[in-house]
Amino acid sequence: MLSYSKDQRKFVLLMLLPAFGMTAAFFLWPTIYNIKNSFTDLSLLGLRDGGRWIGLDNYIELFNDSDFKKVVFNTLFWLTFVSVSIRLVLGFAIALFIESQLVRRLRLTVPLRMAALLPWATPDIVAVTVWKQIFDGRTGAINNKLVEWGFIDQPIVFLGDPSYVWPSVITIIVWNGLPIIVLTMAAALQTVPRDLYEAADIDGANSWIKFWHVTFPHALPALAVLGLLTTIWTFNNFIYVWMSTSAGPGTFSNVLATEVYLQAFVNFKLGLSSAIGTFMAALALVFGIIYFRYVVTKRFGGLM
Amino acid sequence: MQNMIKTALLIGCSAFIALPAFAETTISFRYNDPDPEVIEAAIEAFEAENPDINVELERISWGDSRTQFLREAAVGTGPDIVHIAFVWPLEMGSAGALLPLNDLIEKNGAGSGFDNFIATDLARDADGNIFGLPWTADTWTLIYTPAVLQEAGVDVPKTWDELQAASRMVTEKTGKVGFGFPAGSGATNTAWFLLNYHLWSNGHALVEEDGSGGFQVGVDTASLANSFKFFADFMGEGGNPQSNIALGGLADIGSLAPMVEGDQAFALVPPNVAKAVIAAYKEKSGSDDVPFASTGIPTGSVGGVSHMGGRMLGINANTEHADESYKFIQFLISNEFFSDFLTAQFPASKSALAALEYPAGLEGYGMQLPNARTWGAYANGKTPIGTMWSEAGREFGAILVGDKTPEEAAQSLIDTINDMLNS
Repeated sequence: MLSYSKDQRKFVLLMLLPAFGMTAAFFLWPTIYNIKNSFTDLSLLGLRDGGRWIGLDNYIELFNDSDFKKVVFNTLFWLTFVSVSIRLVLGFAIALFIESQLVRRLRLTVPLRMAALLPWATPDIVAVTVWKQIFDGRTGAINNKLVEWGFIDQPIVFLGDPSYVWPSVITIIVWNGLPIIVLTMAAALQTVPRDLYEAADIDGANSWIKFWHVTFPHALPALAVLGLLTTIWTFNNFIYVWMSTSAGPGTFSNVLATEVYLQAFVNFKLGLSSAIGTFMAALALVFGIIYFRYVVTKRFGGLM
Repeated sequence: MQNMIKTALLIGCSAFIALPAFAETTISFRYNDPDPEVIEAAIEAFEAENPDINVELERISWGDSRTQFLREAAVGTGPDIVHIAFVWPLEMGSAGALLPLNDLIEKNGAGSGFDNFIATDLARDADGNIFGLPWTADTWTLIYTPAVLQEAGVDVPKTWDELQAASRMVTEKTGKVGFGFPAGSGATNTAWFLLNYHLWSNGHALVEEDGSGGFQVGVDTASLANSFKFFADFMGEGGNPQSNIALGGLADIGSLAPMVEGDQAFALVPPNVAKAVIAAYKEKSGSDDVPFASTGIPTGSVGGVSHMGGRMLGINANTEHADESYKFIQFLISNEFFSDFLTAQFPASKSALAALEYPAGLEGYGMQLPNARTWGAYANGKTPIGTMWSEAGREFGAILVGDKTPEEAAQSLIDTINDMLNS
């Protein structure tokens, strides 16, 4: 084990100090400020005077509000769990296909990787705007084709009909967010030692056994990290829902990030909005701790 | 040598004394409407007349302008002059974001006098502080396509009930859109305007003065539910396509495309949107003939009432150049500015509006403006219009997707307003 002298430790600490300072200034201080605001009735119209201390009133209001439970459910289930699961599974499957022997033989690996990158290069706002046109109930491409081919008589209001709103929003999220999964998993698959496949071949293993016992265990660490990152990015995301449905129809697709915006900049209740933000941060923290302790460290600790 | 030094000192001193006379003051003007080139041209003309003042034009979308300015003003920054909605000056003034203009008006005047402006109740608070000068005026009215009405065999509707019947008939007979409106439930939904026009036209209001200096809800649950239901009934066979539930507002792509294409009978829109529809039609058809006409808002039991909307100009409380900013505002509210530059909008002065001639297709605005009311009690009480606007749209959306009955939605909106009034 390496040992460091007292001077060396001081030097290391000194070198790390700017980074700690930056972290404190740009992350810690805003977090503390937000938590403080969550115990006040701060309004956007009262920024000069500051808010009045009201204790836990904002949190009590939130947890007594039945609509807020729906918002939490939308965020955790639809926006996060469903969209992240689809992206991980689909992204891994596409990466497997791109890195497969067949694609290699056809010399399509590089073109397919480039194609997979395209949605990633499209800004979120542009992607949502284009998808809104594709989903449009009157002139959208999907409705036009479905009517033309005789699958439906009347156009579907994808972003207005409750039966289709979440699947439509998730389609947009998956399309825009899939490339990072595909490319990261494709890179992870390239690190699997080829000799393991050769050894498996010698042992007579079929494709499924090779995938389950060789490919999958080597891909899991990357998949685990992607799972964590994608979950947090999606959980906090505001753009997709706000741009596509404005949290509607009614409050049907409202999520925590849009609720933060609505309370702060539509209802001007910065205190209440801060309480929702604090609740979101707490949820993300709990998820991160559980994920690292029980999923990443315990299951794949040896591989990371 | 001595003479040379004296001459140099003289020139130096003269330059020093003369410097302030040529010093340029830079002020910033944040303008939010979508025609900045008009304002840029006006600024050039203003700067030519006032070489000591340099005006920088800033741009922001209407959706972000209010919150952005409030944030900036709270920390001592922001543009010198802001372009604000009619209902913002009082809340921004009470937040300390806008400078009271009383002294500047007293010293320099304001057009043909402050009382010649419309909607002065939205600019002056109970203590007499004036936080904005009304600049442009508008209201919404009904535009229609006579050819579609003729095809369906319906007359121009005069009442709300006639509008509903005509809209249904147009869709039934022609398959075209009857009364089409964006039915999305975003924060700046269109349902808010329709709902209020229907309520006002029938003698109700979401917020009204209580007669003792306070404010109260001015509608009962049944009447509000009736108004919600009235517009919900337009969806689908009532003439407003179901697909419009995904449209957030009139600015959404495709919102008025059927009107331009001759596939829609009626729309309720502000003048800038009506002008955009006419311009889009002319560009598409290559014809100068306008196939649209306009009329007043449909009437209810007490008439056809719309809101007196428009924009005001305010000065940031943090400005260091109040005099120069006001000078620029005086230029912007002048008759010359509206005749030479901002010809697409109506000036917010009573005398100018009375003398205005409305172009073909926009006659309805001339008919409707005398019947428009300001938001009045809505803007003066404890009920932020933005919050009520958002909630009204959410409740309407909840009805459309079957989450709530009109009665439940009405009660919920009334409860929200009461909570704000009692807070």
